[in-house]
Amino acid sequence: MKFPCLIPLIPLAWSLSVLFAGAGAADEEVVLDDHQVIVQVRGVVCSFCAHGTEKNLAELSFLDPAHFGGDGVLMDIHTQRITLALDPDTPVDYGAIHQAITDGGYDAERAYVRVRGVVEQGDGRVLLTSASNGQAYRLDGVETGLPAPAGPVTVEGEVSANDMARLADGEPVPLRVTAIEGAQ
Amino acid sequence: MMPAVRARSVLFGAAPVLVSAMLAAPALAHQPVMDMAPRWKGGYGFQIRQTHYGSSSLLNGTSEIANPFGLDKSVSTTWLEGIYTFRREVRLTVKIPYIDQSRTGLQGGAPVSASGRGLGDVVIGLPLKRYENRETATSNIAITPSIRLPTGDTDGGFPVGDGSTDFGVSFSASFESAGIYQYYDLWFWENGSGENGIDQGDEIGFDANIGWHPYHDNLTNTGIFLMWDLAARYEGDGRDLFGPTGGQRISTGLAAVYYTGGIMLRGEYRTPVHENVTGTQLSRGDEIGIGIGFVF
Repeated sequence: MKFPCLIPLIPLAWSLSVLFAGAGAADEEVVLDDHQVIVQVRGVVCSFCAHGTEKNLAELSFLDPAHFGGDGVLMDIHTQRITLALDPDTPVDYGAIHQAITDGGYDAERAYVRVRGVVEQGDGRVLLTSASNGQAYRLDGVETGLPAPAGPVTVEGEVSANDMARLADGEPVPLRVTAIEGAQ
Repeated sequence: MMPAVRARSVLFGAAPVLVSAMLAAPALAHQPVMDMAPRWKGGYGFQIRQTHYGSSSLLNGTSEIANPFGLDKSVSTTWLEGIYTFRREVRLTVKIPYIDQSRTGLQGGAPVSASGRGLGDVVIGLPLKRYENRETATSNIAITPSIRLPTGDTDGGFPVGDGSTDFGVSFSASFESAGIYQYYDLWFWENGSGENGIDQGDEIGFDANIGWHPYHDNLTNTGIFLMWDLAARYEGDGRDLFGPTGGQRISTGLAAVYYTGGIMLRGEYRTPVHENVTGTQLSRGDEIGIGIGFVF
């Protein structure tokens, strides 16, 4: 009977899959271009399974559908990241991104953001106002009390999934800063 | 043998050969389009599959014996399968078979040829899933109650239905990373007594699909899956007009899946590696299937 010979393949394949999973590229460096948001999404390892997620995201009004095959959304199943091409003139609704992914059957982890704008300080916090669409970001992890840069700067950082989900309309987006370019 | 053939046809149509892909497997046991899709709220899909099996190998227990009367069997089924996802944890599936079959069996010691064609027994399932999304993988466990309705015609020499309402349940688990897909399903059908003396035994089965994802293009969402498929079946003793039914069977084979966007094509082949039938029956033989599925 051949069946007993096949049985060991099941745990073997399971073990291999765990190895493959561990070798995923989710920790690969994030490279942000202007007018893009990259969302780290847990479990996006199959585009066919995430077809609904892409469809949900493609309906967001602040995307630029001229990119990524005509819908402004690019899924990378090897890094579990979804890149959104943004319309530079329209503020980003991070809550809508989070909801689209949740309804799609997945869980957003964080969004990687790159914004060029002007920094202001007040009330013990540092704010960045986007030069292209006026959207405000609250810069976390930046020392307060220092003189604000005189001109525009480019800030890269992360918005957590919790903050994406609970952001209120008009509220500055909490951004954990990872890099600032152009500051004196 | 009639009911066994009919039931096997329905079951195999409902049996996994997938993946979801991960994936990409349009022929899962209780997920018509695939195990993993559509997992989005309000998602829906359908697929059309054609399966065929048949044989002229006559078995007595596990031994192949001479077939001097030229007994044989051929069953082709076209499946229309639909799915709706209320939310990722709750889905509804419907499988509608159209069967075209023929066989030569023994009646009163003489070979008799018969055929049947038409709508078979419709299967409705309610997959209830629990997902876990991890950094580089996603998985789910599911319980799926099912009912098989007696919609198939029970008349004729080789009827496409047995007239019984059957109840089933499946316990499944799947795991998927970008490179590997696995699906395991343990299921049970309680088969009611049918009409015209047909009384098929209850069934228990185990299916495993292990898939490799060698190619995927992010920009076009196009890729290929290659899968190994294993199916084990035990069917309790029963009877139909031509004699006993029931036995054990293990078959294995390969499946290939091509997908692009929300469209998936699948082809599969499976062959028996072990059969132990009750009394004397025809082997199920090799199975082939092709299908195309769409999700929205």
